[in-house]
Amino acid sequence: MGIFLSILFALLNMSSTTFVGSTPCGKNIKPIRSMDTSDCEFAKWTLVIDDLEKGFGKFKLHCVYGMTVPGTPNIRNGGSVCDLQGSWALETGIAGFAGAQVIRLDPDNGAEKIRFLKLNEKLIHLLDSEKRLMIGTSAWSFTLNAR
Amino acid sequence: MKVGLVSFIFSFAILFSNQTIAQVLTKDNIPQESITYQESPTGPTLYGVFEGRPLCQEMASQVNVDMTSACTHLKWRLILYVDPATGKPTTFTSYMGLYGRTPHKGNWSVKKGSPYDKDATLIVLDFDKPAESFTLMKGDDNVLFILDQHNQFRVGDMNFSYTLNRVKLVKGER
Repeated sequence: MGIFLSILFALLNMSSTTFVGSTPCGKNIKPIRSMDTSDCEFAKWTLVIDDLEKGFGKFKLHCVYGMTVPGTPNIRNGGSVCDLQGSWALETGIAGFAGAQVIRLDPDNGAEKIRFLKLNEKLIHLLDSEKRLMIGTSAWSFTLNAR
Repeated sequence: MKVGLVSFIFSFAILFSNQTIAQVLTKDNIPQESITYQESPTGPTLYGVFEGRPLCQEMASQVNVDMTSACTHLKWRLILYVDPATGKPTTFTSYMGLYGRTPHKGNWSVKKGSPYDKDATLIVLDFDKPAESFTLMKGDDNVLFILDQHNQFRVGDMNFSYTLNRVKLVKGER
């Protein structure tokens, strides 16, 4: 009974934040290195981060990417899919701002770490290899928004 | 023993190299081209051209412009100019979908500090229409975040964000 209550308590105290957004992609712009972006204009992201307020936890990332369908927010022929999951933790510092909070994703499969600048509890922005803000295009940015 | 040690070192090297593989390289993280059919501003007075597609309704509400629910997003091109001698902000030209293709001009300035970050650099746009201004937070030289009338971040959705990105204008051919 005690174990059951402990598990129930843990489950009730878990919270998750879902961030969504559409970002550019292209031959040299692969937000996730395993993506085949040879035929890619934009990617739609859904990133679920558990226990954001605790500073560490688990994450799940799902993206769909490909070419646009003009006049719509859709991806042609359904696009390609990427999925990652693993642990996340807070770091400090980006290029030019030592005190910035950074969310670092550590995928379970040993894939590349992915870092986001945490602007606040509802906005994060993808960083490049030297922790600079990723520069978007006239159509899409690298900001993800809490849903 | 030696084979085991070599294997261990090799495995450790692979693990370490995976740990250092990062995301998009900085050399590839550069302003992208954007087509224009107007004159492209150039020269020492140009600070930069920034573009993005923020959501429509909140932006329209802030400046009391009525837009139908069919307006989901705006195409915003913001051109910032500086004094070439001092580098200080001077004027801007804004092409925002709220006003069709009519450009609006005004003066811009830089302020320090926001409700959530005393070190934040804010760009304040004073339009030539009364009671209209927009404030953006400078993420860095290439990325600007559009704030609301209380200087708080705006939150976008799956399709559109309140972010402007530095672009390189290139002349299109009709």
